[in-house]
Amino acid sequence: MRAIIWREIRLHYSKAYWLVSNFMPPFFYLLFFGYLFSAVFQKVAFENRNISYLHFFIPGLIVMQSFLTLPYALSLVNLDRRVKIIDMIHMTATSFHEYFSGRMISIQVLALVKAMILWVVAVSMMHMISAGVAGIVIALVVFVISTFIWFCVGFILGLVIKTEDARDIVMQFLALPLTFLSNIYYPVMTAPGLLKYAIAANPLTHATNLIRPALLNCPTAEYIGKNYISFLVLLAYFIVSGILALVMVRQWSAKKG
Amino acid sequence: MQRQKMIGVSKLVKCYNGRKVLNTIDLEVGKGECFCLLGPNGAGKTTIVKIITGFERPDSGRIEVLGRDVGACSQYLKGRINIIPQQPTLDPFLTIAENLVFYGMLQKIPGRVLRVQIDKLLELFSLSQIRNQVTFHASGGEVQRLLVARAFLKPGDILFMDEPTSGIDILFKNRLWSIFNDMKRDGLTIFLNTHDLNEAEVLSDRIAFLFNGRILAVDTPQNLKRSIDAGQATLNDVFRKMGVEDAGDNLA
Repeated sequence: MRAIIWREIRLHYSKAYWLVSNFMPPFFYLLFFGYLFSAVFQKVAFENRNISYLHFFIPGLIVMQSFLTLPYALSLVNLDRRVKIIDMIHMTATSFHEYFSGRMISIQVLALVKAMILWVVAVSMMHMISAGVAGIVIALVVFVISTFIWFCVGFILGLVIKTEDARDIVMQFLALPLTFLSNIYYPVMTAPGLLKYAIAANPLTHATNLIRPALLNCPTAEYIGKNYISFLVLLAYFIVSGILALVMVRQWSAKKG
Repeated sequence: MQRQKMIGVSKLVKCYNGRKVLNTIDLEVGKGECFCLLGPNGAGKTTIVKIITGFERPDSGRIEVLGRDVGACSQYLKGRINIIPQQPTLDPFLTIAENLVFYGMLQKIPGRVLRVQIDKLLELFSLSQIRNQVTFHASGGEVQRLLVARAFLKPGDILFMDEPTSGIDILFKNRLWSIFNDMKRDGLTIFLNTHDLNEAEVLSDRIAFLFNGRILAVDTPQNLKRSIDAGQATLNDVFRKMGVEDAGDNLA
C-alpha cells in the first residue's frame, strides 16, 4: 500500500502543474460561477430563511469534491489497467486489496484537502456562517462516506472499462448528468416529472442534504428530524458500493493468481 | 545425481474459445537448470509461463512450483520467483530509477537495501546515465534492460524469462547472456521462453521444442542436434526434421 501512495505522490502531488490543475478548478467554480451567479440570484430560500446564493452553493461545491473522486479514480485505475501496472502488481508481494486501499487513501486525502481549503476560504473571505463543531464533524463524516461511494464506483468502472472511448462515454453520460440531477447548484424541491425520482435516487442529493444544513448551522433537532432518511440512503449506498468494490477486488485477485 | 525438482507440470491442457492451445504438456525443471521452451510465435510458450506463475488457470493438469501447488499458494510463490514478462509492465510516467523503486516497494524490499540494489543494477545494466529519464521516452532496448534489471531486485529461486532479449542489440545481448550464465552458476533456476535459436543454445541445459501446443522433443542442445546428424546440424535443422517446416522461418 505504501508503494501505491508513494507512486501517487511522485507522479502527481509533487508536480506543480498537477497541483494547479487540481486545486484551481474549485476556485473557478467558486468565483466565476458561484460569485457571479449570486449577483443574479441574490437570495435562495433554505430551511425557512433566505440566504445568499453563494452561501447556498458552497456546501454543494464541497460535496462536488467528493463526487470528483469518481472520474479521478476511474481514469487512474483504467490507465493502470491499460499500461499493465495492475498486471505488474500481480507479479509482486503486494496484494490487490492493498492496491485498492492505497488508491482509496490517496484519492480520499486529495478530495478532503480540496474540500477543507474551500471551506477555509469560504469562512475567511466570503463571510460564510461558520458551523459549530457538531456541524463540522457531521459534514466531515458525510464527506468521507460520499467520497468512498464515488471512489468505489470509479474503481469498479476503471477495472471494467477496456478502452479510452468507453471511458469518455461513461464520463459524459454518467458523471456530468449526475451533478445536474442533484441539489448541488439549485434547490430541487419543485423538480419536474421523472427527474424528481432521478434526483431522489442520486447519492449526491443526499450528501448535499446532509452537508448543507450542517455547514449552515441549522439547529440539531431540526437537522436530525429532516435528514435522517438521507443519512440512511447514503449509508445504504456506502454499504452496497463497498461490497461491490470488494467483490471486484476479490475477483481480480483470483483472476490473476 | 538427481536434481531437486523446482517445477513440475503434468498433463497440462488449456483451451481458448474451444481451441486447444496447450495439449497434454508434461515437463520438469531441476534446481540450477536453465530450461528453455523453444518455439515459433503462437506456439503456446507465454501461456505455459502464465499458468506456471499463477497468472492463468489451466483447464486441467497439475502444476507444482517449489513443491507446492500453484493454484493453492500463489502469494507464497510470488515471493520466491521473479519474472521478466514479454510485454513491458512499467509505469511510463515514472523515471527509470523510480520504476525500480516502485517495484521494490511493491516487493516490500527494505528502503536501504533497495537503494543499494538499484544503484548496483543500474550500473550492471548500463542504465545509470538515464536513471532520471522518464520511461515513456526510453528506447525499446532500454525498456527491455530495465525489465531485466527489475527481475534481479530481490533474490528468488526461479527466474522466468519470456523473450528476455527481444529488442536488445547483439552486444548487450551477449552481456546479458553472460549475466544469466553467472546467475545459473550461482544456483538460480531459469525457465526461458524464446524463439531465438542462439539464445536457446547459449543459455539452456535442456530445450523443449513446442509447436501447436505440444512438446515435440526435450533434451540437451547437444543431444537434440546429435539425434539427426553427428556433424554440423543446427537447432533449426532439428526443428525442420521434426516436420515443422513453416515454423522454422519464425525462429530467429
